[in-house]
Amino acid sequence: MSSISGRHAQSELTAEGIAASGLTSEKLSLPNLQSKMKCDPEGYESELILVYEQFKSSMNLFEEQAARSFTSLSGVSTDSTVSKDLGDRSMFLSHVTPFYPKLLVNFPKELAILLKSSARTLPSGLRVHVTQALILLINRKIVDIGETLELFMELQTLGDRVLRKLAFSHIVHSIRRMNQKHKNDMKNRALQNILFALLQQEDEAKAKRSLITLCELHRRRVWFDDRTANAICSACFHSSSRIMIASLSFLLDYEKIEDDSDSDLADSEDEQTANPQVVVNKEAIYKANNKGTSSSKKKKQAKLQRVVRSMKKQQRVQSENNNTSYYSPLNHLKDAQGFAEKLFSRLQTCNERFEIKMMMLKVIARTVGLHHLILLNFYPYLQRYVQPHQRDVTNLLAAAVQACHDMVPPDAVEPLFKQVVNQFVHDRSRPEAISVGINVVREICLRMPLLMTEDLLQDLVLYKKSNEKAVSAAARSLLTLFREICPSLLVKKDRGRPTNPKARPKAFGEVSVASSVPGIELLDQEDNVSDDDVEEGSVGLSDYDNQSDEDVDPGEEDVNCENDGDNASDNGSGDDDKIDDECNSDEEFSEDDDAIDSATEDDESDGEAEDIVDSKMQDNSSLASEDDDVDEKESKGIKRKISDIDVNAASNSLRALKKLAGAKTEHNSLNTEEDGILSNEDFQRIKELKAKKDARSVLAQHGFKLPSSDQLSTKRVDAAKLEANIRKKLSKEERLAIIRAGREDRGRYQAKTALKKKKTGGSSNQQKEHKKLMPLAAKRSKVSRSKIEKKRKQARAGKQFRGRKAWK
Amino acid sequence: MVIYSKISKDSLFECVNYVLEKANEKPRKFLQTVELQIGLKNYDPQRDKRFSGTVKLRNIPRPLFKVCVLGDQQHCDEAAANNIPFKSVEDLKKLNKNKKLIKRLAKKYDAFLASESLIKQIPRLLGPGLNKAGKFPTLLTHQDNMVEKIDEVKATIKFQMKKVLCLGLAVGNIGMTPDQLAQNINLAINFLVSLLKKNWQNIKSLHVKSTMGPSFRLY
Repeated sequence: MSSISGRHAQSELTAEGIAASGLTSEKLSLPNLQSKMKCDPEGYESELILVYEQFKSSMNLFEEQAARSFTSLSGVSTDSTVSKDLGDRSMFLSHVTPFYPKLLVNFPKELAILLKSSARTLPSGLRVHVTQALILLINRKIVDIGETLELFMELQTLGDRVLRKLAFSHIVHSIRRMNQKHKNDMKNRALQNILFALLQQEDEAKAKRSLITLCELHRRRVWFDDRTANAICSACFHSSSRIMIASLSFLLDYEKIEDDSDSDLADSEDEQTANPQVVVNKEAIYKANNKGTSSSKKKKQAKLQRVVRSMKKQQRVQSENNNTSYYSPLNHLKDAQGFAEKLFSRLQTCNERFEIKMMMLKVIARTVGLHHLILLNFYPYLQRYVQPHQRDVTNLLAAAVQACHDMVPPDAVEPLFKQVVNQFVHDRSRPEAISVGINVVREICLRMPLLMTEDLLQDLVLYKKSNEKAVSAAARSLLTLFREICPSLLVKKDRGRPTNPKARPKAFGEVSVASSVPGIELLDQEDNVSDDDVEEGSVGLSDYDNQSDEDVDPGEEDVNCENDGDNASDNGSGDDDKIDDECNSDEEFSEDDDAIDSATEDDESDGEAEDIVDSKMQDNSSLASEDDDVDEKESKGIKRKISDIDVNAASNSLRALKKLAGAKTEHNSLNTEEDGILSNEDFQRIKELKAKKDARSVLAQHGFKLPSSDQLSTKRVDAAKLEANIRKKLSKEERLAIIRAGREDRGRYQAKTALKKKKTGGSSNQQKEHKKLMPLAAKRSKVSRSKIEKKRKQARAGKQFRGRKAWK
Repeated sequence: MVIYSKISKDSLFECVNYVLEKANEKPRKFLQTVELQIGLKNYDPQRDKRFSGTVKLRNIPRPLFKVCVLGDQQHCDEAAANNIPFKSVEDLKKLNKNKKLIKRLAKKYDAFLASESLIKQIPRLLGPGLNKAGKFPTLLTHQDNMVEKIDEVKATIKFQMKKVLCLGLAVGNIGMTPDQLAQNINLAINFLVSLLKKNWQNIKSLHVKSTMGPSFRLY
């Protein structure tokens, strides 16, 4: 021991001796020497060698110390000046390394070895200095990041906060810089492999740092490839629960980030959609077509078209923003099924806190929903948590909703579904619980409509009469949903006017396969119309009418259908139509004939075409039975005309279109065959027509739109939306309190004079008059006047009684 | 109104004729398939949504497409009568959720049909194996005509973009007439283009080729 310490002292001495002989004699400090070396590298080689020697010797000293501390475990006592010297020298050398590539070829390696071997024993200041020196070398591209990555990862685990931050930010920045211009896959892969290997290690600290690094790089979109995503996801299976928690929270955070942007979007959407829904109701459409002067009609129609345009814009924005969730690592899972199964088995066996179990649940549910996995045991597991008094029950239910998709057999989810209904929705439970329950039922049915039975639905819908607004709103939303997806389950009076009365959810495993390009029938229809337009270009007015009908008629159609009951008004409005139509009828007649002709070309005989027309008429008769009744009384010729008109009008309307679709498909398919390959313009037109159609259906359905299963799976379910957040009606006291709160800045009421007395800043007019210098005569006259006044007052005062009354 | 089409009818027929001619020049010992190969552009599979879609062609592209019926008693009998491979519930239970056997089953057939009563049990009986292979059965009801339904499944092709910017799929075979082939190609291209966000602007190239023959660049 003594010998070592003696050698230590000796070496220290020698180091100092060299320093004394070398540097102080030249009177050069290291920074000065550095700048001189940069100017003239050859001239200062001897000094460099000297400093390098000094560096080596002091490094040896520290390494020895490190070795000794391993054996003796005694506290490390190092001279602060020595460590400072070493730090300065290493900085100096790393600064000048680019100028002496040959002499200092081993220097980076030595630095790395020093850090690797004795990082734990070095004083923290020195450690940071040496690390900085190494970073400098890496930034100058003298050392490759791949060689030192592991070292830096290790440095982060030392428990030194400054060093950890330094090393971490260095790694992230250098990898980011590496990938800024273009991505070198080989290099990235090598680095990733180092980090992945660390992540797999048992050592918690190392795995944690590597996970944090990976997450940071993923978040910065430097490494967001499949490999990184999978590595982050696989960290969920790390033996240490802390790593698992970190990884889970990263995965969930991604969902949250996405959700934030989504909710922002939703907000803006709400603002936008709120407008059209207020402005465009059926009445507005009706008025735009039938009321007022022609110029005012034009204005109203323009307004309607603006609304349609804004809807289109919304759709575009929405479709652009749909892909935000794509970056979530869960999307890139290679073996999603394996991931979900493994995590679920861990969830079942682990005994973590409830919060952590919830996190695992959420991740599993999200994965199941996103990848349409089948994890049948998951639903019974969820079932035992479904109770109104359960903590975080809305989050749990949101997870349950997410885990439902159309590939799950309904009988697997049914117990869970029943549990929700039984626990939440009964007359004794609190209104909040009922509304949450109904909302969850709605969300699940949106994904798996087959779960719903007729009795249950009718029971639930009865809650729409509830006094609690939240409950009734939830029940109504369920009602609207089923009006769309399966009206036959509702009692007749609840069905309203569904867009498709025969709608029925797809049976399990049923797939709908398109037999041609979606929306092509729209194009054909458009073609027919426009062809006719071209043919009858001479009658410009009728064309205009047709067009305008085309643009905004669904409302009109709806009105017609709706007003079946009050026939008078319908006829009244219908009269105009008839007049118009009678002007048009001839042309329309011919148009229809054209259509029929084209149909007959494909079919065999005219008689068949007649049949088709008849069937169309029958279809329409259900729509406008009243009209037909009237028609029957009229002569045959007129009947023919009107039925034609009906056909023409109906072909524009959405519902009739669906009915006619069966009859028309043959015709369509043959047409498309002739059309050949569609061009960009065709697709553009299809898009436009589709958007128009969508806008119509949105209007008809009061803005309710059924999302597709794809849309449902990509979007996260927000737990907050399951809760009813309808504002309670305020009591009178509360309202008054709000009113008072609004008044507070006004101040107490005071008389005007009191306020005037408080006046600051200068004298008042009265005061000024008092002070005013006046000629003597004027003063005297004023005095005398006031005297006379006084006398008069006194005289008057004498007549007035003052004081107590005599008789009292 | 002028419709500017990206591919004229003539070039389509020229292409079809070329492919058929080349395939017939050197007869092979099997029925060659005609493939459509598509290169995409302006599309980032990392960022943009991956698309997928199924469409039913007018003519069956692959006559040797194997469909297996997973049926109840009635369907099994019908399948046996029509000489269609089938499996009953007992057969499936025998697999015993053995992953290897299920994988083998999924590999053996190109598609599955299942009867109404059975299809709900399939996830329980077979686990996620069929799902993973993308061959989850299609519903077959007692009202459907089994042979027709199988033909429908056979005629269905699936476009699915994965991580690379190209995809290829069978649209016909050289046993078809040029008209039929052209019809199929026409519909396939139209449908594909309708799936893309920017339609034709996303298409870099379209090639048609028979299995062993040279390719013909259509676009």
